[in-house]
Amino acid sequence: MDEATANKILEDYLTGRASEAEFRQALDFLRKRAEFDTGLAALFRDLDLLGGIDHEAAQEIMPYYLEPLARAQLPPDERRRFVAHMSQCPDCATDFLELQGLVGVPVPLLAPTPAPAVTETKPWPHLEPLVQALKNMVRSSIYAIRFEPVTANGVHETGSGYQTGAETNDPTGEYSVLFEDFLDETTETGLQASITAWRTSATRCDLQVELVDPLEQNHQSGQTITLEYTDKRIIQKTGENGETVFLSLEIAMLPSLKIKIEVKS
Amino acid sequence: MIDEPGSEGVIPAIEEASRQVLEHLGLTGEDWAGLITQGQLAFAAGSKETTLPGQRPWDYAYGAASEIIYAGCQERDQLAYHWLRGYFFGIFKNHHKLDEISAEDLAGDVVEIVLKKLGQVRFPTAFLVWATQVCQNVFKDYLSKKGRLKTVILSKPDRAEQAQTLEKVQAVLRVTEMEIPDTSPGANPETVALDHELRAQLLNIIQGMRSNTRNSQLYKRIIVGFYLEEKTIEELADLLDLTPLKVTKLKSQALLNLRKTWLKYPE
Repeated sequence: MDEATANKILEDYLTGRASEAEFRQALDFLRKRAEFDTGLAALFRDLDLLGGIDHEAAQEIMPYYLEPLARAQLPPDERRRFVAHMSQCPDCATDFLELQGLVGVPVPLLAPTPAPAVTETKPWPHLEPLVQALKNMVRSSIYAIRFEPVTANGVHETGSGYQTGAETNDPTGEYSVLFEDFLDETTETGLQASITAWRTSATRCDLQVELVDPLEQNHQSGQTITLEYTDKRIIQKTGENGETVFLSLEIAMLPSLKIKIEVKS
Repeated sequence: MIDEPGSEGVIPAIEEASRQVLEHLGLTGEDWAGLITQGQLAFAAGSKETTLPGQRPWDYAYGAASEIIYAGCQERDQLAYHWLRGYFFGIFKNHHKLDEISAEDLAGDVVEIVLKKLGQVRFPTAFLVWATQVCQNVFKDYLSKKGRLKTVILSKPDRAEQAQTLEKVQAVLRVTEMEIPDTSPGANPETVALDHELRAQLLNIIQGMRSNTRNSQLYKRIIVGFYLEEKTIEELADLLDLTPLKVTKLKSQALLNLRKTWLKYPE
């Protein structure tokens, strides 16, 4: 069977001019046809089975995926389906983010004795980005940005944080801004970089790096951002909007953080 | 300072993480020593590192703490129940901003459900996350029963908001999926939407759809025509000599059947 014949059989099958056996043969032949992908993805969506699982199954896996030791033990198939579901289902994604935020939020607890727990709030020092050009080549630039505490007098509160609908102006609270800086013309290609760290819990933060392309040559996407601290190294690429977010970093390690922005024109 | 027997040799990073986790969970001090101590946690976390290498010290300590509390609940330890109740109370009061009476009532409800469903926990290291999810579900029920949901959610998220949510989750998934040594394109959340196994299974199911009755024949043809041949409802109506409305109805029925088959399909 050739492709044209298989396609013709599929077409004929719709009007009853091809038999079941012929249809099976044709579909077997066309199995890997890339054009099926869009339709099959749409079918999964219409079946309400994004990633091949329903919402109930996704909710069941969610706590195990969020906890790293359980996540490491999830069967690969289950994990893959969960990731595919979460990447496409806004409702489950909302629950996922809510649960992730809640697990990371330390809550003062009822003590066995009536005495209330007292939490000491330590201000976080202002972190000053020190930009150091490591390499400047014609088509590529690498910059390292190191953060140094310059004052310990208070939290450097520079914004109101994500619009979560929750209280966002509390500098010690969830989603308050730990620091933000805008690096003008960081690279040879003229890209600018905006770097923001948002507190997500008492001990953790998300770090957003956003490349801005003022010349609008669409250079901001697909660039490599490397984050290094202590013995860790995380590499991510910027998305179409020039943004990438490093999640759940320990606030305590921020002073040892180094960000490399590698820009290829 | 750890002075419990058996905790010698635990690496300092895990010791420190154990201290931080206990502080994070409000489990420090003598009051909770009957449930968990820093030395006990550091030792348990160290054992976890041996069996599941490659994770962060915080994760070992958090997972081990979760497992210890889970074991306490299984053994009907009143201190474990009491701590859980306080944990949920804190979430309702401090995170959801409920008044103390409602927070206490709901915390009691959550503990009851958690204890009833304890046997369903697949991985005890995730017990606390699992229990927090139960807590979230109880809160949603509370809102919907009280008719408060509409006052909390002002409007259904629009497409842009949904896209933002998905982007944020995809960013999380990109990080977590980097843990898997095989970072083939399939591990990228944006490209796993239709991996080859799912695709093959769905094609198998379409291929195996019944076609021994007039309706089942139509179901199969509509699914093949609409999703594989990319025909419109109107085109299918012409080909099958039906009205577009009839095709739409048959398509909905075909989808229901297909969904049932998929959920029964052996993995």
